Amino acid sequence: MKISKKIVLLGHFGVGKSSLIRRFVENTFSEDYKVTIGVHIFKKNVSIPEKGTDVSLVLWDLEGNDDISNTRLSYLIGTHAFIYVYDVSRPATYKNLESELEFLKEKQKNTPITVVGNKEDLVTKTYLKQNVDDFGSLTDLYVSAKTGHKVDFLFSKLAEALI
Amino acid sequence: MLENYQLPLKETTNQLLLISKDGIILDAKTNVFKNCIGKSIIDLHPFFYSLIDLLTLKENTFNFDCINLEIEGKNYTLDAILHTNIEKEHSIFVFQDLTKQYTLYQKMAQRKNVSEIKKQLLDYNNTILQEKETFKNTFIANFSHEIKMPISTINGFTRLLENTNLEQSQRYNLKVIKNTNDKLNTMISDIIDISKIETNRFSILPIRYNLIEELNTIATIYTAKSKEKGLELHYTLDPNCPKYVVGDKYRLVQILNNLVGNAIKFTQAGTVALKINCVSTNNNTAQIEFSIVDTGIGIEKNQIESIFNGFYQINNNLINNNGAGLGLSITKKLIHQLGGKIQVNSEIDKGSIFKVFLDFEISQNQKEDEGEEITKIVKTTSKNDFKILLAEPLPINQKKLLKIISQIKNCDIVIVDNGDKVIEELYKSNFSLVILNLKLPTMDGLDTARFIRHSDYKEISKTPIIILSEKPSKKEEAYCKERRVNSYIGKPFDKSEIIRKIKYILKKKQAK
Ligand SMILES: Nc1nc2c(ncn2[C@@H]2O[C@H](COP(=O)(O)OP(=O)(O)OP(=O)(O)O)[C@@H](O)[C@H]2O)c(=O)[nH]1
Ligand SMILES: [Mg+2]
Repeated sequence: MKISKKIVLLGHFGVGKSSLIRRFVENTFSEDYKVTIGVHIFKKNVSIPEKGTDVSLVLWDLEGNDDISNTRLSYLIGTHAFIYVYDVSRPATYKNLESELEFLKEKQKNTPITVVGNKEDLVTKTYLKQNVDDFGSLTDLYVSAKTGHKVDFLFSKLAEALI
Repeated sequence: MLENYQLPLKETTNQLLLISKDGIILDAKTNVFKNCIGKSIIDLHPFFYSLIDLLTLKENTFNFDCINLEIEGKNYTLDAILHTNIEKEHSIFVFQDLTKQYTLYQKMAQRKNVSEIKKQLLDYNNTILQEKETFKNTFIANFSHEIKMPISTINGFTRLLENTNLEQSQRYNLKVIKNTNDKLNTMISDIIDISKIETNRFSILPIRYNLIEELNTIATIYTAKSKEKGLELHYTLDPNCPKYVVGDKYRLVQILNNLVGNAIKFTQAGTVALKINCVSTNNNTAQIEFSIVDTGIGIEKNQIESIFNGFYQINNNLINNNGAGLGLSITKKLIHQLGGKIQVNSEIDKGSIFKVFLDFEISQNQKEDEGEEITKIVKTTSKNDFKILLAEPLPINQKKLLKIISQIKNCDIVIVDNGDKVIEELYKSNFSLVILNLKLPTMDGLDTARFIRHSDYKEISKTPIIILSEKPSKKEEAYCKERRVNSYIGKPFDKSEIIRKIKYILKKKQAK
């Protein structure tokens, strides 16, 4: 059996978790918002030429929550990596970023977390720089499901790191 | 074999998969996964990938609620339980198809999230707007302060010139300069006031004062101004008005100046009336109605609302008026800040009536205060070594401080009661020290200190400053230090501390 890695996406509702997965898996985007309830699971094979191997990424698209402690913990079992998504244009989605990440670290020790600010297409670079204090220092990557900016990069880097 | 497991989970909607340790489906009772016996679970759906590792665990139970699976083009939402390692051989995956129920739930969540996001975005946009507004107001306030400095300089020097020998025509020219500059000063002060109100930095300075006298003075000034324009000013004052009240005198004067000034400005012929009526009184407060009635050009009905907006001027082209158009806007805001209200009635070509209602706290002491007129110079013998300028709005405090400061030998003391007068005095003569109460009208202590430090004239900018604060705080003190204030003294004012600090500054000055 091919190597598979479970990646769980979480964050507030409407931040674009489903959209990021859709962009990555199908390379499409929709302006419509369909609220995810529970979890949807997708799979995509990624080849990692540097390591001469393939990996199946099993992507768990979780229901958005404005409080991470309401997450159903069984969804987290066996996770290899988390992607925590927030929306750069909505402060409510990153105002508790630090404590949300703390919670994850506690529940799933030693599981890497990648923090991404999505919808970077909606704001300017200056805006991102200005908000360094709010979320900048904790953020690994700014992405956009809409334009596809850094989406492939996000997942393939993660896959590579997990091998 | 399945029957054994079905007993304890005896619900008809339950569906089951019996799974071997390595993930092969041994038996099934399901209509979601068709023909699945003998297949590996990971071929059913990627969801099962993460179950593989659990199958080899000791006896355990895992709940998976609300799992959305797309199977052969159909969407299912399941609640599932995985019992692992049962009888050390296999696991059982029990689930219910709750697609219908969850579809309803999804609709609810959809509504809730969409409206919540809308609200968040709205809140956020409002914050951004507010931030922009605050930035604008702070910018305007700072900018206006910068402008106020040269205006005060012009003012100072015109006053110096006034006291020199001038020919008649020179005197006339100087008067024009002075009047123009006074107008500029009023405009800038209005702008500063407005931006202070809008950034919540506006403060009211209540003092005890003689209301009747204040109103009479205003009437006298505007009677003269009306005459200059060939108008008549009718002034009536209700004898029931209390004499001594506690309130912000400067703001009352500012409001009446604006309204009466406007009435005269917009009236070409006829009369302007200032009627003061005491509507009601009790032991502590009096409500007073001020009516300003003119026979001027009037205001169009549909414009009445907008005359109180900033930078708006009625009939700009008709009359060559020289206000900034901020007068009414600031008036309304001031009245609001003082807890009062304003009403307008107007008819085109007939005139306007502005009515202002304000509550006044009646002073418990209605007796004449002797020595109230200490404001201004106190001791003057030109032989004295030092000259101290004391800026303090309250006569009673002026007295107290004067008593303290007079203990210092060889010094003249000049007392003023507002920030603008501080600047005026500084242009008139050199002072060894300025003592500022933070709560000064027209320009507060901090702004005055800033003004002094930023002055282009060394004699002024180098003047030592002591700040007196009635509500001292570390933050304020640090702020004063930043403004290069020499000394900061907080309430309760300690006599010896004040003397010590003054002496210290004067000694240093003398050493130079
Ligand atoms: N402009 C812009 N809009 C985006 C982007 N990503 C997602 N959106 C929009 O944001 C909305 C929410 O996207 P989803 O992907 O459904 O968000 P989610 O995080 O899955 O939301 P939940 O399932 O409720 O947790 C949709 O209207 C998307 O079109 C992006 O990068 N840029
Ligand atoms: Mg989603």
